Amino acid sequence: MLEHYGTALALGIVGFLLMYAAFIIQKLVGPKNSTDVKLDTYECGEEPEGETWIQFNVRFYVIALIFIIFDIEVVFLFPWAVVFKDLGFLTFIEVFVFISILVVGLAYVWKKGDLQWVKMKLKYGTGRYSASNLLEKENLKEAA
Amino acid sequence: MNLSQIVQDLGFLTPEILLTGLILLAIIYDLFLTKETSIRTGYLAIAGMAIVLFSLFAQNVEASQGLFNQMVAYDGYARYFKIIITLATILVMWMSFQNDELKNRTIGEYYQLMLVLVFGMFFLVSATNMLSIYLSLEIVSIMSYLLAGYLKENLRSNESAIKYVVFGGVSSGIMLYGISLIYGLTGSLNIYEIQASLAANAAISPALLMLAFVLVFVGFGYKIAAVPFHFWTPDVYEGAPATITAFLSVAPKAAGFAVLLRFLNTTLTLSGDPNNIALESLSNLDWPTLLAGVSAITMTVGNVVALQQTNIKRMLAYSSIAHAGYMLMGVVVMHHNGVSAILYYAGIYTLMNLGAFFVAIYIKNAFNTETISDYTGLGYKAPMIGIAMAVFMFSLTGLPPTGGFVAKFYLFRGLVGVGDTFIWLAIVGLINGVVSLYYYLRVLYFMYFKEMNFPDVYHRAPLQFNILIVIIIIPLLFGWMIGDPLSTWTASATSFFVP
Amino acid sequence: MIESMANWFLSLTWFPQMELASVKLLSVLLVGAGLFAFIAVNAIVLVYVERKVSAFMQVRLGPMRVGPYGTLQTVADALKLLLKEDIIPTLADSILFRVGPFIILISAIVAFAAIPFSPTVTAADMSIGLYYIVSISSIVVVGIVMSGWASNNKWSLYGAMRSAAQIVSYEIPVGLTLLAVVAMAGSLNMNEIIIAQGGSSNLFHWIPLPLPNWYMFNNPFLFIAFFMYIIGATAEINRTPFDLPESESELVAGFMTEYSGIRWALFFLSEYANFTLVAFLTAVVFMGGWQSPFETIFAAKTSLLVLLALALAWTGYVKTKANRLSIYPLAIIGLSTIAAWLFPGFAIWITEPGLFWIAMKVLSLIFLLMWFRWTFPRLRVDQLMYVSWKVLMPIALFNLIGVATWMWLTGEIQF
Repeated sequence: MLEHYGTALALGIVGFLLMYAAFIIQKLVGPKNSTDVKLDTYECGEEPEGETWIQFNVRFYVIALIFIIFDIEVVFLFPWAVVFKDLGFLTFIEVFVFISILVVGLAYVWKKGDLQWVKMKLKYGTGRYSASNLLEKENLKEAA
Repeated sequence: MNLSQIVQDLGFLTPEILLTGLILLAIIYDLFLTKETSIRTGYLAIAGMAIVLFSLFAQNVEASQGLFNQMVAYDGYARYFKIIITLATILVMWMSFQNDELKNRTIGEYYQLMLVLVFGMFFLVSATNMLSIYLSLEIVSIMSYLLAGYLKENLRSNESAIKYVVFGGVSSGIMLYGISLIYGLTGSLNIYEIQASLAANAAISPALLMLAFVLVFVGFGYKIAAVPFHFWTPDVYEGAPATITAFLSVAPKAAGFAVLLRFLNTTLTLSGDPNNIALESLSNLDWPTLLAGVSAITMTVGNVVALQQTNIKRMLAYSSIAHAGYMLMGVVVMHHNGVSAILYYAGIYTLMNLGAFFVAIYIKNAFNTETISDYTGLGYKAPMIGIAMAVFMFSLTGLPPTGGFVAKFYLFRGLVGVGDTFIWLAIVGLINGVVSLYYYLRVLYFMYFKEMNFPDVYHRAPLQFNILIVIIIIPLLFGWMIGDPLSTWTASATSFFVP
Repeated sequence: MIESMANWFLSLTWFPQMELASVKLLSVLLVGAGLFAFIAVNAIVLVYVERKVSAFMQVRLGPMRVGPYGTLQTVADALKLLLKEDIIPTLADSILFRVGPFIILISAIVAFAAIPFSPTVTAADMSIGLYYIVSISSIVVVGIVMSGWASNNKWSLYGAMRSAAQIVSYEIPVGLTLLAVVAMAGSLNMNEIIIAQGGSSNLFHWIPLPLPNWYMFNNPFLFIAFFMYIIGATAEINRTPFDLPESESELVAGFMTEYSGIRWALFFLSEYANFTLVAFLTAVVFMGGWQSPFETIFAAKTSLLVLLALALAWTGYVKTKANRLSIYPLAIIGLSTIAAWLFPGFAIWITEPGLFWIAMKVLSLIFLLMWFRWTFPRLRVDQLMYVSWKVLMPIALFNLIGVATWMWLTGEIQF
């Protein structure tokens, strides 16, 4: 049994070594004449502005949290799926309950708007898109 | 262990299953509510908790059982604590409707989180496996963090939540390490098997065993706020929504004591059953003395620091630390007298501490102050509030004729009953009682004696609040008088499940 | 496979006498090198194929210069990448920058260990093969975030974060659809899943349309699951229409912006490795893996006749509609039909399970995914999240319950 994983490990090691061989070839034959400009960070040809390692939008974090919950659910369901045929209807009920609880979780997240990528919905903007301006335009249209 | 056994065991979990259904129902129901109507989730939660309470009373615990491969126990002991917790939850939820801090905000999650907290405590008080103990402890902790930080825009609330998370995370990590040590020493996570393994195997190094149990005690000690794991208490209690403070100071504390008592009295005693014979500690581990020390330090620190507090919430927070110290005296006893004393104390303490907090919350709402010195003359301005506060303060001090006196009396009786060993602890306890007299009665001093003037117009509390307070006061004042039903009940609830 | 390979080596007369264990180790290393060679060659071929397919779909010729019909074009490209200068930006986190591509590629390669190429050719016939592949291939996210973060470039960071969000979002629907199959097969072993799809039966068991007994035709829920899996898998390998992480028009090259030369080639290699992996997984899980779609020789002959009729109709349709002669499908199917009817050996061969059939299935799936690229426009970020969480996810959960119910109704499980 374990030797299967040994095969996988060997595959990883062989793959790593072969890739490394490519790097060695590159070292031997590739040119080495770097300049400061060449080693600069790419930013559309401009000089890089400001810091890149900044705080990122919290939405990604929320997605990661939701992912963890549901991924663990999937992990729990895999053993069930394997033995489902042998254990029969009772486990069906149990899994139904389990999934229902998670569906409640999904419904909660959904309703609370955490699955919504664009949070803010601007009905009216400012300036010429402001509410009064748009209403005026509509009135003019109707009049016409 | 097969499937039919699991299904059979599920039948013993009616309250928990009802509670789970209630949680799901509350979550779904709240999705259809707006900010203004979200209070209805609270009504639903209270109604549901009443049904859970009913189902708890309907349980027949004559024959105790171990469920799910002895993951949880089904016995009178667990049921008693579940009833206390349910009652406390209902009272706190009722008070939450009147808490101004929680007005004008989406409140649905507040009740949902509280229900999940109760769910965790239900399993905590009946857990008989280190895994289920740890899991339920984590459910309780995480819900407590969330509830402590429920006032999102309030900086103090956020601070309290963060502090709680940090302390909780560290202590639960330490506890987990202790659990792994115990598992390594005994080869089992089931507390009965741990006991059997410890009793049979004298070769286990006492020092290592002591270390393991001390590490595990860190987790419990944090939950019951025993010194030196109490540092989170004042800040969390001050920052959290006041009703949650009241709740945290009673329900998780009672649950923590329940699991501590079950854990110690099962694993570290010669026979796992406290009902039949006086317990004897496993010879190579003198845990009663250790706990006696913790108890003495806890009550002393709690009381002495409470003396200097000017904020009523902080004062009550430190007083709750002191009360944890008193209750630890019952754990030290290792006799069913001690267990029943703790059960009794937990019941009475729930009522009196909740009452004191509720009055403080009401005063904050109506007079906008949390400082004790601002209570001047309140006893005359609002007689009902004053009388209620007096009863609760007397009871917390342990003065007759209140339930607090009887509860403390049982604790001391249990302690003295085991002989001369712990007389010193009883003396420390008595001295501490005297110390506590000062700061409890200081509240009454400001209310009644600082300034004596009778106003023309009395302040009237709303009927809802008055009913709530009366419901709490009546058992506190008279519950122990007429035949002492609580005492007989607790004496009968001391039997742990023993396989 | 390792065992039999080692025994085969020992049976050779010229082979030096060694202990079984060391021969096994040797064969493991050989298998590893073989799989790596397969992945590398496969990537080179697929790049060429993709460029040609894209060209034909846009009525161009594609690469024509290097070698006959440009067949050596990608070899030349690979050589050129190998000879490029190795550039690590000064501002980048040097260690993570180097490690990132390796993690991505190794996770892609290692996942191939459990893929069954034929009944005998399976590098590691694990009992939890499917679970292994799903879990290993999700490590890619770590490498992507690592290299995107280490580049210290805004485009890279945006690309990496988007990619991470996308991959984790689509992993759950994909996992749930695979679960439905696992529940049906009652095993996580890839070969057992394939064997469970042997033979033929009616569509959904009761619509009188004889089809191979693949899971995608087994019941309506799995039929839906097949399409959901294709969608989710396309998103997981970051291919169009889900190629936001490296969308050229917005993010330069996403998380690969700072990479060049051989390091960039690693990304490219892993991309095509993942691509092939997904095609293999789909073929195994939904389309019967190395099983032949024809159960008996007679079935093969009649099915080919039916296919020939369909090809004729298609050719006629194209002729009347566009006035062009679509010759290739007709020619291929016609030749196969004639061969099957005239030469019994051919008919026997096409009913045998093996490498040929899984290759056919995988290549068709790869063609399908390339076709997607020139059919669907790229999604917006919010649409991407919408599809994953609000469309695929509820359907996947519903599907899982549906499959369980179906199994109960058809009597596969008892009360």
